[in-house]
Amino acid sequence: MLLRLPAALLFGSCALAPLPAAAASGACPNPELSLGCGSCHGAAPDALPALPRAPAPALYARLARLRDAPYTGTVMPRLLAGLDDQTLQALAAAIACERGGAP
Amino acid sequence: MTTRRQLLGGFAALATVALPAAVRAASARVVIVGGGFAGASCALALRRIAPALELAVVEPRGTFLTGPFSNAALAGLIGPERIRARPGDGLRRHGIRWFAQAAVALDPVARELRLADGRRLRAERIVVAPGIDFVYEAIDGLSAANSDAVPHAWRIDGQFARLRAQLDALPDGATVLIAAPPNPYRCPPGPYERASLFAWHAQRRGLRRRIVIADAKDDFSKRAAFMASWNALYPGMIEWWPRAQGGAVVAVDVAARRVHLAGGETVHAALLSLIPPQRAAAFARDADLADASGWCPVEPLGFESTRHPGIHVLGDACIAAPMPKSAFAANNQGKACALAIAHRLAGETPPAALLLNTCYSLLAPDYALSISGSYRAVGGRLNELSSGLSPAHADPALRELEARHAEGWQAQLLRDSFG
Repeated sequence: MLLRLPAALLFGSCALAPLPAAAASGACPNPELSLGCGSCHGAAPDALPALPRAPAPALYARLARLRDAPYTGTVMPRLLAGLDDQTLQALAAAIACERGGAP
Repeated sequence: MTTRRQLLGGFAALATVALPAAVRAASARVVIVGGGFAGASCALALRRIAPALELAVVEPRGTFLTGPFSNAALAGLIGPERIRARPGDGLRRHGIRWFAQAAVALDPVARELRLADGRRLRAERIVVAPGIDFVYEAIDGLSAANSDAVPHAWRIDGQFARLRAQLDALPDGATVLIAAPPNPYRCPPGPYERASLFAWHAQRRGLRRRIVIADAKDDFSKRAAFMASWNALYPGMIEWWPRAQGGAVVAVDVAARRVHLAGGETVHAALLSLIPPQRAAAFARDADLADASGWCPVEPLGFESTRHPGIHVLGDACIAAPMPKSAFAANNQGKACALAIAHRLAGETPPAALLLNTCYSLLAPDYALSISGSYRAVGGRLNELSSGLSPAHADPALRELEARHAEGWQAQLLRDSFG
């Protein structure tokens, strides 16, 4: 049968919660950058871990590590490989706002 | 290298742009034709982005089986309920008006739809996400009427149960032939995942099986990784016959279960799964949205038709190359289109969305391969920013990790698209 790895093994534990008011009211920056994230990361029972709730600089650091780390064969480094630092910062800010982390 | 100070400095300047109030307040009528991955995700995103819009979806099916993991469901690796979408439920839950009937015609100039019950709907923007049709006549002897006997199940519903029953009934030593179509088509790695999981299906039953992929192409998605994996998992079971070796299926005798290949060879198989060449669904072609290729050209910011302004074409029916025709691409296009429509209705130029694609193929319960890419409109064209795929040779632990990721991908893609 199919085994399921606990989410914490992959991404660290992240609480699931409804969208913060800022995201729901369209007040978050650059929604055009983050629209693909929720296609994998969300609240489905078997989903990949939810995006962490964290301030934008911490998210940026995490995304940059994923982009720049030696290639391990999974998808995230490939998806981030084409984004320059500035775009990655804007993406981190969008996610931080949508997830209710500090700016 | 960028210093930490530079990074933090750049940050404050960027973190202030949000949707203009006029975008949020856009009030107009938008009608979406098709409740698949593209249409449903577009509807949900529009509801969120511009709540004042009068929004309706025209989709005759309240529930249907979806493509991602459908080969796993065919082979019995998962139950079919895992791939079932219920767009009707999601639309109702989000208060989106749902016409549970077919749209039969679109006047792309008047922007007026005609529904099966004769009702007419006019809208400022119409989103067309009707999926694909099959060009049965490209294979001599094949037709819409007899295709059920050599099922492609490439729209899943309808032929899914038939193909699964044929697979389950195969005796020891049976030959299976899968005809893989020419580009472009829905789900590029799909025929090869199907061959893999049909091999898994035989192996777990202790049956010998010969699986031939008769291909209209000379290459395919994740080929090196697929072929190395077939050697490791199913040695000697799967044969790939490319076009250059005469592999394309040119004719079929459906009753005799026999195909004729371009190279002159005739193959008799206990199970034939003929996946025909494809084009945009007739609804879009009849509405003058397709060009001579049979697919619908669109601009890359909001997937608005280049033939008829105010009409957007999403998902497999549109020409979004270099994005593949995949459920994930359709889902991302739906959201980008929603953002663009809200901006256009407010008289604003939409921002260029970062579009993603990821497609996992399962080759066994604990073995998956992936391909992914990122895309963005640059200078009026959709540009590939990055792409990559699973290594051709890798430790089993990576294949297993990707299989777990694949499960999450499939589950969340359904949830994100259909609510």
